[in-house]
Amino acid sequence: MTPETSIGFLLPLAVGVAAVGSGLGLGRAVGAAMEAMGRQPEAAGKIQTAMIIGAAFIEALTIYALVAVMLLKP
Amino acid sequence: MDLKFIDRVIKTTLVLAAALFPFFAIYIKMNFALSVLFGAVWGALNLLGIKIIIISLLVPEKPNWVVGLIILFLKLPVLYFLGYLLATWSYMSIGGLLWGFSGILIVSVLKVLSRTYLGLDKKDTADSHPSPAENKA
Repeated sequence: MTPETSIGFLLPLAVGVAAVGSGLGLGRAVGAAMEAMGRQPEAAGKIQTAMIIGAAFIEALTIYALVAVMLLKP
Repeated sequence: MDLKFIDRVIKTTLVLAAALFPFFAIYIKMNFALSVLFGAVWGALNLLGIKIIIISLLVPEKPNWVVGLIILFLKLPVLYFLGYLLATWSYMSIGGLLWGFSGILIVSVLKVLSRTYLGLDKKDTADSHPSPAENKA
């Protein structure tokens, strides 16, 4: 197997791993936020703000992985 | 820290990107400056989309399905396809796009740090939850 072929196999796999990690993280974050909102509905605004920032950061990780793959692809 | 914080982050990022555009265009390169600007605008639209989806769908009361789903279908295929086009356009600098996209994250981290340093969130919490002594008074 040439290095180009192995990179061609591994790069999509790396994005997949990043996407799975982000999905798990986002799921945990949203789940915890919904639980917190259920306990304290009056604090929903503050919880949502923190959740939006967290979601943006988690999503950014996958986008960075995707861009890195686009830069590295043979 | 309320939902207006997100709007302020978006506005600050766009103003920062617009202010940096001439400097990057003159001192670095036009394509880098445009990439930073487009990256920042893309990041701002992405954050706005996340905000609208969350405040429409993930709420304690009745969710607004129509707005949430419209923005979800605009964000996922349309905005992401625009991002793909920007990233694959040969004129654009990938590094510039990444810097522009990271701008919104940098601004939000700096804003949160400054709020923590100034103790603004403690003040909010103290206002909304008075201490037992204040309750008695």
